[in-house]
Amino acid sequence: MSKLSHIFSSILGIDESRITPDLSPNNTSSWDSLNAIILLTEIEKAFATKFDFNEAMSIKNFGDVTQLIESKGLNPHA
Amino acid sequence: MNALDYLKLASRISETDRGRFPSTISVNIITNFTDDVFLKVLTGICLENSIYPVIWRAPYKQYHLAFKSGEIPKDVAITFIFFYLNPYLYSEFYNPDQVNELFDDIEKFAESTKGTVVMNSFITPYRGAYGNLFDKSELFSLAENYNRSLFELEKRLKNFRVLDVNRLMHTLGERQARDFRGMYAFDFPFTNDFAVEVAKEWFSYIRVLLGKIKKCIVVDLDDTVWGGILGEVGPLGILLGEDYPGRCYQNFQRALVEFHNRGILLAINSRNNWEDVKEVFNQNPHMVLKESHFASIQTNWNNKADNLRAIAEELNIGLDSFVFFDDDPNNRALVKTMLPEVLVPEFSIAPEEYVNMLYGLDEFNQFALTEEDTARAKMYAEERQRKVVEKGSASFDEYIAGLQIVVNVSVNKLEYLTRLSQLTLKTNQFNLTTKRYSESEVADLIKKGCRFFAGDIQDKFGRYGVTILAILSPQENGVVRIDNFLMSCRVAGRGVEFTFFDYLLELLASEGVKKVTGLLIETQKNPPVREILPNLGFKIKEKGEGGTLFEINLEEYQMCQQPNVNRHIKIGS
Repeated sequence: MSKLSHIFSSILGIDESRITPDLSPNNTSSWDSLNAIILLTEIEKAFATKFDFNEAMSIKNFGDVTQLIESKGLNPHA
Repeated sequence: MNALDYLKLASRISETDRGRFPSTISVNIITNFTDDVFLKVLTGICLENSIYPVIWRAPYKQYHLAFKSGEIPKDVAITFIFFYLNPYLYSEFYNPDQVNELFDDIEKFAESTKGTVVMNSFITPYRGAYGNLFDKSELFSLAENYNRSLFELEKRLKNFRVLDVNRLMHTLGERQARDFRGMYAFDFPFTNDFAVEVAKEWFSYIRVLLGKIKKCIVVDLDDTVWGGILGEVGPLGILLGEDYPGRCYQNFQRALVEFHNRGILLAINSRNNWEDVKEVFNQNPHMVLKESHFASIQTNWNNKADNLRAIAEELNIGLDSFVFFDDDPNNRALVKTMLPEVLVPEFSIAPEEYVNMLYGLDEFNQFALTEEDTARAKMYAEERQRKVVEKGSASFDEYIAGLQIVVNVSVNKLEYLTRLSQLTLKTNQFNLTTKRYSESEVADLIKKGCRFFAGDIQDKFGRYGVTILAILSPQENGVVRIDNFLMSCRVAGRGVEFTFFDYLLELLASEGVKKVTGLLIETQKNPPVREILPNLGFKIKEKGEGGTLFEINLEEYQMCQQPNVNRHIKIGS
């Protein structure tokens, strides 16, 4: 399991098979505003990076997170 | 386990899983920030320890109202309060009048709940406009004043404890503990890692409430309390003393002695010949640990799990009270597999890390230390000497007579309040009902007319302290109920309980009581207590899901011979 899927599956309490690029707060009830903060901080910790506030707020689905990590020159599939 | 592991456990649990857990704990969390992570991490830690938590949280930013309206559940085991004050963000906590009013509300709440209230101290800011002149900072003195008030509250209230959160701040460092974006953007001013540190510390209080604390440290010898293999290098060749790495081992020994002095038992579980080990104790001048520090010594070639069982049997405490240190990963793996209830910390670490690892364990945390606690380890070591006497006695009766045991009985002695509560919290094996009482609950029961008969036991080798307790309800129509009876395992095996009961039953008869009843609630751990009432002549009156109710007619009791009551054991006062 990749680091990123592990984080999403752990925090949102969902099976890893559900984690696809279009996973979003709209189709995942546990992805609420409080878990969004926890996702953000745990992703930053795992990838040793920091997103600025606007970047973080622009995340609409799992695919966005992958792209954001890539844009930092990091491997989102690690 | 890290933050993510705990979050994972918490995210997969729901009310329907409750039945799978052997125990539950009811908790309140009250803070002045977004405390979602605290809730989840604490949930995860409880689940990791097979405890299902039922947590109530004050609605976000409504703690003031919650205290005023009385909506905070009072019937919970424990309430955690955490208010932060910091130099970065103005809050109502800058206003002492408001805070003092809040403290009053907290005090009122603590007085009204039977559970325990744990409040985090205020973190003292270490930086601000005054730079190095931090004592000039208004906020620094505010935090200090608030903390002083909290410690005064702790002295006034039996069920209120202050958690020194600055200490936790030290373990991570302020940079690793604060999250500024979180603070400004989400009102969550801490990192998830800091939340884990706090929640673990909170959990250590839950562990005390559930009687799950550790009581005994069992150590391997070679490469654990000294460097090198004794069998190869001899008593003076082991690495121990002033130089690296010998001074690391020596300091680890010092730390173990500190634990002994606070009442944690020490035991040896080592593959060595006892004669060789004895030589180290007698000849090596760098040894800080002495033979007399140990409550049990197993030096042989048996497997380490069997030895741990033998130690548990000798000390009469459950295996779940043990922590085992061994540098050999195979031994650790064996013990983990065969005795999963024993805590086996990762010990494949350099000797310079030993003390830090030991200090880092929160499994020994308690609410308070009593005289009995600090004397306990010494008492167990004395017990080893008694065993030597026992081996030399011709009969059990001669052995008991030789010990010159006296049970000094007192009733409702308030100086013992802490100890009485602690006995109910910690005793598992000789405990009729396993009902746990906080100090305020004990005080409450006494107010309601219950009598706490406590026995302070001594013999010619030393004092055991307050180690036997019977809680009797007030007389009603000539009947007295034994609300609970409990006895510390360290006085077990001498028949003291029968002499103690004989004294109580005779006393009750002289007060005109006709019948005495006692309820037994069986648990996995209390088989040793089950035969006591029947052995005194108590008969089963009712048996149901709530336990077995025993009864005895005192007239009949007085007519019968009591073969279990040993007349060599004296009652004093």
